[in-house]
Amino acid sequence: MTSETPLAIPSNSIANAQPAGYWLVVWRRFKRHRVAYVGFFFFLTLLLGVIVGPYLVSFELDQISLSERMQMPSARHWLGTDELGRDTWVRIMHGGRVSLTVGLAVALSTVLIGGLVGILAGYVGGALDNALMRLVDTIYTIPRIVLLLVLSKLAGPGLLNIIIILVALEWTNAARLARSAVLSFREQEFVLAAQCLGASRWRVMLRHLLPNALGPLIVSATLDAGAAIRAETTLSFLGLGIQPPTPSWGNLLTNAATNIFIAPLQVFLPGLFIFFALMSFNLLGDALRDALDPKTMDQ
Amino acid sequence: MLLYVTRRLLQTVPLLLVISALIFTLLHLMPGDLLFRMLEGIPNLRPQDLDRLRRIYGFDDPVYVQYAKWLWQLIQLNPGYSREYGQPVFDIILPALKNTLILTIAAVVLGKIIAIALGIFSAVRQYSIGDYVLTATTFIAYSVPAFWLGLMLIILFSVKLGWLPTSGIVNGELEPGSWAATVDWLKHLILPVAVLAISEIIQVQRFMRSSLLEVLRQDYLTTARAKGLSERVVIGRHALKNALIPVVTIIAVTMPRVVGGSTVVETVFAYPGMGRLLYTSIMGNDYVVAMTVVMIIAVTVVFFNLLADVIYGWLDPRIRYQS
Repeated sequence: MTSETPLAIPSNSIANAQPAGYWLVVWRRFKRHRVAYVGFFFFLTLLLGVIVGPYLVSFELDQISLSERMQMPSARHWLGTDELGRDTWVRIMHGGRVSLTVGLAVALSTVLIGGLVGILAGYVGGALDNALMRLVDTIYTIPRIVLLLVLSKLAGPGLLNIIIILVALEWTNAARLARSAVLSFREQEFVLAAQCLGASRWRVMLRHLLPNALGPLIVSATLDAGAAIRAETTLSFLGLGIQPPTPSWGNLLTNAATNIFIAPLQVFLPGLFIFFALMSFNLLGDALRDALDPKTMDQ
Repeated sequence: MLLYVTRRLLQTVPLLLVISALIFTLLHLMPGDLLFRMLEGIPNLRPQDLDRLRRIYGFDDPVYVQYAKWLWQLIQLNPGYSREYGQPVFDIILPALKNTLILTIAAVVLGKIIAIALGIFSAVRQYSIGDYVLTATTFIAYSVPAFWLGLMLIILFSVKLGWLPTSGIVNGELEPGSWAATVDWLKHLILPVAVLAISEIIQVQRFMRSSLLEVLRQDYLTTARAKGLSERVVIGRHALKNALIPVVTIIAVTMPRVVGGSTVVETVFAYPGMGRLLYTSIMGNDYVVAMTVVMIIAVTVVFFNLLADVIYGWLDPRIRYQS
């Protein structure tokens, strides 16, 4: 019973507003996904952790204590200390603020920019579509690491620069997804009806086509957030992203790696948080993809 | 088919031109002047001398003139000299390319064989405990950043156990060519090969699994079973042939990595290959080297993308190219 009644929902909720039906189904399917809970739980814990984490202990971000260098975790220093005796817990939580900010900002921007470009290319078509899609192809052809290295070297370090560079490289995914969604809806009756009623191009695009492209875009945003955190930590690890003394999960790792023989735990910990962040976004993305996939919508 | 390949080959020319122009412009914007670096430290060099030399060597030309000259030199396979080392670019790239090829070919062969085997196992035993464990493991491993994995392996095998060296490729104290030096060289390779092979497995195992599952549902396999063929023949002879088609394509698309290496893994292990050369040349403003490395990578990317399309059509007769 899929193709004709893809949005079939229990009778008691049909009485409610019809447009909510789709998202209600998606929400139910998402809730049924146990994996989604795990991803969501990880994400919320991390978010809460980096927000309140630094206030739970009495150490400052740059509080140096040479008598307490490279300690193992203790009641005083929960995750130990680095080579200058700075508290690792505080530094990882602050680093998480940076890394999660990059992830969320990039995800939001790529969906906005890529989504708009994709809808525009798909709806307007013609030369604009061709030019935009060739641009996307070219960005795809140049290996990601080349552009990341060159652009971040050129732009210089800094949170905003990193975000801009990652958005410049990652918007292509969202653009492709939005474009193909629009192409499959462009010729349908509801678009024709809107045009006949005198809706402007922008109204058709934003009011009628955008909602239909939203599903793939949300999945793409979730996965982009993970990809952005991976790219930011990699760049910071290579010394190009966020620069010390501002901590990021990537540069904390590089810094600790110089003392890998004395304090290997300090190398392990920042990476563990990167891993948690990437996994939470990948789990969420997977669950959302399943929840939003019309092919498997049977309930 | 020939017409299709020719047309696609012709299409790659403008694409490579666009990429080279884009990268040239970007690297041109980088700080640092080739001449100044060559001449710095000469005490009685006056600013007007520098200007004169700059004019003689064409550094005051507009960007597009410099680009055209550079491109012409590159086509003649004479990309110039490294700013950092003062040697011809190819003298620097070829040893790095050799190192990378050794590393990546070992990793790709090892990784892909394991991945395909695990993928087949997962698909044939779908929903078994083994399949669940494998699927969950690759999903979790997918979220592990490569540099962290590399450092964890260093902590385990170099710091804790002391079995393997942390970085580099040779131990200078050993006599080159001796048995001990060869063993030492292989020891240096183990960890980087492992990290690269693991990332290959993560990517290809899932792909192989879903590709084979798709094929297993098809009617011709029911026919094969109905004929009384053993499961070994049904899977190994009939199903695998079709299931491997998309896998071969994905292998072709990922082949440029064999030439370009992995910047992250080579940096973690201080392995002197193409990926690390790309990184050090960009960081050190050695843009003559960086440009050449980027172009070598770009050409392989474009070539293998084309190869993937051609192989796909050749292996799967259902796909026909319009010419």
